[in-house]
Amino acid sequence: MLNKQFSDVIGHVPTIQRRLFVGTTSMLSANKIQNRGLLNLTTCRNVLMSVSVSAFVIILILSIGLPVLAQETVTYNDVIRVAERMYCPICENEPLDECRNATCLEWKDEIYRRLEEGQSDQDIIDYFVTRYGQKVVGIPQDTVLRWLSFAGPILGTLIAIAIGWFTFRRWLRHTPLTEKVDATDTIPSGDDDYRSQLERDLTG
Amino acid sequence: MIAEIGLAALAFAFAASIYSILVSIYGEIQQSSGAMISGRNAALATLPLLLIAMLALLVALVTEQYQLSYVWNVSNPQTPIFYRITALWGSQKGSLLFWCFTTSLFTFGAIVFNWRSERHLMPYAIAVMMATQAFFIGITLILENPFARWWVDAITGDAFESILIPSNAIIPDALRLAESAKGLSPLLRHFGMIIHPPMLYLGFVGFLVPFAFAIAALASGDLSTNWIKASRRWSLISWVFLSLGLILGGRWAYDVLGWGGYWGWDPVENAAFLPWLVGTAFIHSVMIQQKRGMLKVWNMVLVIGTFSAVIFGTFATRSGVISSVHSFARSSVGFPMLTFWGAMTLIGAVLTFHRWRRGELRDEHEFAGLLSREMLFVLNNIIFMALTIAIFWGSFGAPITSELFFGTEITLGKDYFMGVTPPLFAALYILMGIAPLAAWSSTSIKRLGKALLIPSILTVITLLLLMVIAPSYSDPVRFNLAGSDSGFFLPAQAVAAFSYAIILLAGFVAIYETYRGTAARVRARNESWLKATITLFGRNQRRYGGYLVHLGIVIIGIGVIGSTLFQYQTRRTLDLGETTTVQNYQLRFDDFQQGAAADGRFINRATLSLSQNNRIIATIQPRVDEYPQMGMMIAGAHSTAARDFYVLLDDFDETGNSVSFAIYINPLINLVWWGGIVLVFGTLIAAWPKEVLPAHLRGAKQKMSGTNDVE
Repeated sequence: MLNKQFSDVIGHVPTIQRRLFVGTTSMLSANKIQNRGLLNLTTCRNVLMSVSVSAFVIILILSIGLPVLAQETVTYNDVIRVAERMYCPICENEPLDECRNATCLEWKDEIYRRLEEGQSDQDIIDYFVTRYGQKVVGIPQDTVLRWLSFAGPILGTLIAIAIGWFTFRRWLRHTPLTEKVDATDTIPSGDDDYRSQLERDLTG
Repeated sequence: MIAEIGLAALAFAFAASIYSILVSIYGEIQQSSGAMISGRNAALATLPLLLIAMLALLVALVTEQYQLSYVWNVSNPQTPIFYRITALWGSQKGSLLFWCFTTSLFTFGAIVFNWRSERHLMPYAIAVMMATQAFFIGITLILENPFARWWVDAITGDAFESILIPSNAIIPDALRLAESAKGLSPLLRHFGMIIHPPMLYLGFVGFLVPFAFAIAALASGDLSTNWIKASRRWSLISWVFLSLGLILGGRWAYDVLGWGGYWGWDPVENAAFLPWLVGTAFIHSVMIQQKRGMLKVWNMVLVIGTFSAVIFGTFATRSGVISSVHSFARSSVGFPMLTFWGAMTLIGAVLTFHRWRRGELRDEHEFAGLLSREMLFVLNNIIFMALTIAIFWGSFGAPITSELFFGTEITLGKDYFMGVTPPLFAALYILMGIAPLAAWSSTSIKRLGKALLIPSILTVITLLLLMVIAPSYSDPVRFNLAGSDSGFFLPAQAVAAFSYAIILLAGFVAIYETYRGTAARVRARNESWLKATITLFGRNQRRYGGYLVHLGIVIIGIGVIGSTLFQYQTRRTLDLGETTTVQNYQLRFDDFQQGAAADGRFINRATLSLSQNNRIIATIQPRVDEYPQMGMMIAGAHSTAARDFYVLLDDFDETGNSVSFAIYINPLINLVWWGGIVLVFGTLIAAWPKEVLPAHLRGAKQKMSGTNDVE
């Protein structure tokens, strides 16, 4: 039986994922996955973390039973909001919110936990970036790399505008009135009544 | 036996391509028509040869010859016959062979339809097309041969792959091969995925023809509009295939990838989108050259750029450069493809530069007013170029630069693309509304305003209507500055109102202009409306077909805005029989079933009933198909014109009594697919030849005599 309120918010480690993805997730040993409880909240890299998290989990599980605290809980969409900006560390270019492998489910748990702690979206992203690198977020958080990322479109647009500007300048410099051509050019020759009718329509 | 046939046909096709290049160029230099015709015939001969090679692989797939490692890799005894056939392009080796075949198909077509009319361009064009084909056949033969077979070493008993029959080896036991065969990737078992790769290939390869004609024009010095006339239809055909490939790919992602969306700005998607962008710019820009003799250099750049983007896209998706710069080095096709891409782009650039330096690409007219159609088309080119650069940089440029020079792997995702591209797309839609109304050379603001008046009124009315019936739910849209937390929020309604205004305006301009043309005919000729419309489209296919394409793009745009800004997402865990309310829908979890299917997958399927106002309106069955390799989340959806109610089976416990569903409400998403259909129709009208066969073929048919083509 799933704990409903809880799993609606963050999801648990689904049986199916266990069956499907254990073989493919290299970052986690099968052992670790086996050891996880149904609520999947205890996989962390160092022992200290796990201990503190376990304590936290217990409190969390207890508190969920209390209707008063349930009002204040972080929603599924809050987790998605942060996860949308991040990427799966294993799959290629798979957004975290869409990825369902064991690691990503854990990361979503982690996001949930940190949101519950009152951390901001940016704090959480910074945490993951510090631990796992720039690759896990949709835009690099490092200032230099971020500017590198945006240099392309900015330069590209500038170059495009420059080329356009020179073309315009060249064309505008030549302004012989004799060359003025009318809209008739766009209408096919061959059907004259239609052409004259459309011409009349166009001019009023 | 079948492998030998395929292999021999492929080798002959390779030889014929090489021969065709050499003899065509020789014939051109020596002005020997005999040599040119010989080169042409060799090029024509590659089509049947590659057809034989492809059929050989197909026969091997259908008759389950698992000794061929390709067959072994993409099918197994459980694979249904339909997927056996589509497995032809189900993996790298087969799809390369398919790619070669497509190349020869387009070359064949270009020769048949353009040989007489563009006689002096053809030898060069054939050489370019055959060079491309020879390159891909070479890769298929040497590096990614689909006819490699399994053998067992007679002494050690080890299995190994070899293309030719090795000495001291025996054929492996057929039963064991069949048992161990892998089967088609589950991802490919979907209609969208079956038809999407061939469409994309046709679109990719098709741009080879305009490129070849452009290079032929540059090389021969015939820089009139001949090359454009010869390649216009080919560009449109390729463009429509490419568009279709992109849309079908989106549909496939929506149906089987299980994330509620259709476009993820993934580098693989972007790799196919880039040629589309440059190609679209080319299709527009080329009109200026035909009408006014302007933008000659620019058109060369665009046509070379389109083909360059095609080869780059192929390289990027097949070499593994997307996952990491270093994995490209490990891929066998990476380096050759990169070299080929560089060489083709360089040849194009050098030739263009050469002709430009000699002043042979000078514009015939040098004047256009600020508000002329020429100017607006240049603006359109600028935006397409900026979009291309932005998307290229985000998908490849920045990640590769960062990895090579900063030693840091980065990902540029939705945040980047959604920050950079929307203003550019918005500008394109604005131009789409204005440019068709501007006259050549110059237009006055007054005249333009007058033409825009009625479409603008229609747009405002529609917007007001939309505001009344619009859905109430939406998150504010975050406009983040350079991807940080700092940024500003705008209500989704405001963003939507602006987007819809510019998109609708473009649509109403297309509709109103068509209406005006029809009305003029009805008045002037007393025709019925139906006849007037048909004649109007028939008389000026390009113009009105083009309007229809614009309308398709408008419909897609409305769908994209609706499904992006107003998507609603939630996750619910339900017990069997429980009902939950999602917006104004009630969703009841009725049943959960599990079982093994005949083809080896294990199916988990939930049945839900969807009701509104206490009336059941649909049964939704999301499922998870478990294959030995992976699991597939197949969405269940209730699809209407207004929205999709889209449900994924996200999770379930052992008993199946408690199941979690990811639920998406995707407004207007169906417009994306419908717009695609309109777009295809429009392009077909624009590209449809007045006479299907060119004049000389029609003549030959009437004479019914096998005229020898030697002149």
